[in-house]
Amino acid sequence: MNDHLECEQTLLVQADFDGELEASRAAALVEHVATCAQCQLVSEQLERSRALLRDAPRYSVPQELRSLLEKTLQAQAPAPTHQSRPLVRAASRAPLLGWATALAASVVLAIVLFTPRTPDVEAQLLASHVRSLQLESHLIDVESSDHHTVRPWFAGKVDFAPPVKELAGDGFPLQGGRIDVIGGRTVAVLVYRAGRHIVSVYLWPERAELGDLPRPQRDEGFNLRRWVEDGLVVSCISDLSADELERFEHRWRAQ
Amino acid sequence: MPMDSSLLPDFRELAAAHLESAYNLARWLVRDRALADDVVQDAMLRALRYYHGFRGENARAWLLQIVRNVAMTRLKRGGEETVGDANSASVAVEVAHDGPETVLMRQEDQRLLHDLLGGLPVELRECLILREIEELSYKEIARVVGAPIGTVMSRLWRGRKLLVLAARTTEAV
Repeated sequence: MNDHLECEQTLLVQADFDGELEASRAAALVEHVATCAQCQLVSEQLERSRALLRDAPRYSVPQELRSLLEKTLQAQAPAPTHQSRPLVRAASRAPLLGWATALAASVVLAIVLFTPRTPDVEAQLLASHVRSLQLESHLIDVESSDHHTVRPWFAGKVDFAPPVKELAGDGFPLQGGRIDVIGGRTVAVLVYRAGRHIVSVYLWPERAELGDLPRPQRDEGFNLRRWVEDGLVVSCISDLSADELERFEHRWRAQ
Repeated sequence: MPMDSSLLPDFRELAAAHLESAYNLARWLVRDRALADDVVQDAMLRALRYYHGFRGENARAWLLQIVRNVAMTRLKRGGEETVGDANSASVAVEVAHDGPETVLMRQEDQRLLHDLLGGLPVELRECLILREIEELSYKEIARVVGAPIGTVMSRLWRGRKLLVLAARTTEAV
């Protein structure tokens, strides 16, 4: 049960078990597991845990709660002037925000916002980028090559307006966007294609103070470029060559 | 802002469609029947309030996120987690087609599992419940618990390992 003795493929074995791995990666993983005793043990534990959880009860809603909820929701139907619940009145004073922002404004995302900044933002960016490539479902939340579609999608999901640039003319067609969490903060991610490579562009406000050093660097075959632009920290990460990624940065900043 | 009452029928439909999931999650998180009732009611009112900003994608994850956050706030406010369902033996079980002995065995298994899962840290438990009972994808779980997918993956794995270990220990007794 010692974590240090686990194979680094453990979470991928689990992702495969949960049906979260794309077919091509799953095939390669099967080969690995065949020769890795640790991963075979992981598979057994996964099966065992699922078998155990098959017995877990799914609680059913008590009838009283169901009727109470129906009544409560019905009571919300009349005109706003009839609303008397403090909860609802408080809501009516809330500014017009998207629900995510409204949630953040209350208690909920407080955990996320107050998480102290982490020093290894680069490592997190790399991990996020790599994971997005491994888990097909996580690469893109909004799939579009049209910045008119991608840009509004971020409204209410992040509290800044990410610049969505179309670079198809420069050989970097926009694929879409997603949100991710880096250093405990929700950030916007734009995904571009460059030939057979993917460039992830991470954006967050400078004031988020997630990390400071704008420096190009190379890590495990990936290149990272980071700069500050209009109050936003822009981080590009890709397995493109350093030269090509630099060209991407120039084309981006030229817009 | 004023509640647009024309939205309400849609919200009722959404709430009804996902009430079972919402309740199940609340119950597993707070492990107390009365508190779970409370959490679900509060969450539904909040959801109604935020409904105008809801964009129509993945209603269940959206609603569960609210339920989860209300539940966590309650747990924190109450200091530590509650000791557990005092009436865990009365776990509601669908047993209509089983014979009496099977029913007893199933109830015994369920009680054991209920205790094992209840013994896990709530951050690990919620990932297991969302994955194995509600069958959410990693991405949906990440949204509900407000953590990156990588964190969800490692919590799931830790939860599963602990569960298997705990079950083994119990069997050995």
